[in-house]
Amino acid sequence: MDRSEENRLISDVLNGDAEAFAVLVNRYQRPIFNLMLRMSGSREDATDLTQDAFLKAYEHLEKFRPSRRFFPWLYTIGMNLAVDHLRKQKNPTASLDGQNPATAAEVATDDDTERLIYRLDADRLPTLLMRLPVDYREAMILRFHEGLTMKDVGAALGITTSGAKMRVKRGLQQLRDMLGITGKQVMD
Amino acid sequence: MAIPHEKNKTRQDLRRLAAMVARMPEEAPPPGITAAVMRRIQPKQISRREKIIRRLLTPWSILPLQAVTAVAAVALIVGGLAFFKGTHTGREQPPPGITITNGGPLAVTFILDYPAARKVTLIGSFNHWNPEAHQMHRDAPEGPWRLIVKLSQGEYQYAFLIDDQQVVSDPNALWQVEDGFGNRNSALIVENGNRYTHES
Repeated sequence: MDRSEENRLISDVLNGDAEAFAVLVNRYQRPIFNLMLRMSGSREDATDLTQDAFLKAYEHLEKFRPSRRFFPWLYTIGMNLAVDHLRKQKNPTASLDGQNPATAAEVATDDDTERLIYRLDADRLPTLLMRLPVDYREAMILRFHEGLTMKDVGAALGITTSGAKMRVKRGLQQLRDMLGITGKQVMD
Repeated sequence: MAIPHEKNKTRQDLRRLAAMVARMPEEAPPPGITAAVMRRIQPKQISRREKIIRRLLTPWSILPLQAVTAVAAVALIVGGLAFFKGTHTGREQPPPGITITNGGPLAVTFILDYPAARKVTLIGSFNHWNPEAHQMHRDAPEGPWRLIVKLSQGEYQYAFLIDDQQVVSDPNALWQVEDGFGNRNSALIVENGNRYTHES
């Protein structure tokens, strides 16, 4: 969905056409639900939080400026809700499958960089990502998985563009370190 | 040497990891989220004024390079007269462009150097962002846009609306204020009850 289409839908919603909002919910419920799932570790909580995020976005839609992208704005709302939820739950760490994530030692048993990375089952990546600080993880997901620009990543996370670049870079480096891919091993 | 090789390998590693994040599988949300949300919302009712403002603010575009803004008399009067006493000893001279008066609201001159604009409007919290309240004018075809607005004590946010389409903040304002959603307004504070007017 391009920006003009988004703006048209939002304009329709603000002009009283509530049904237009359903298009936005359909479009963005998947990334928001997965954000909530990463943050809460519970499908039930993630479902409730996803609904709450869209309801809050609807409530405050007048504050949305069409010069920005809708998804980073929505993501900011979602992140704030998730953080509030975690604060209430006092359970800031949760993994997707309830299992302990793999340690670097368990994963990094081979010095061959390429084989090591390719050996990593893509299904395990979310579990590994859960070991990263939330800020780094979400910056990487927004940048590479959701395809946002660095500027929009910064807007979604409430930081500057350079701050977003820094988090993405450090997130990738930490993920690489978790896999045991160090400079020394690469040189070997 | 090994160092360039190491750097190349590192870059390759990071690119591969980025690609893996891009292809990372996701959980499908449970069915019914959209229906649940839609059951809990009511159609919005919006005033005609809000509709007009929103329509005017919608088509943002990139600020042209030649749009060099210069605000005059951004009335930072924090601390009021005491500040000016400290910087202008003896005669209590006001800063350039501002004259002390004995009463009444503060007259603030806004100036925008934007030759390409056909119309410039000052919008802000002092006029409820009404694009019809404060139209700026210029004395010469290529001259700067000007407007004097009388403001009472308080804090204000403002921006310039160019040709009914493009909103730009004032880069020369002393403060830029985030609106919480990534946009910036310029800010102005009139404080301490001192009264100033623009020196003509």
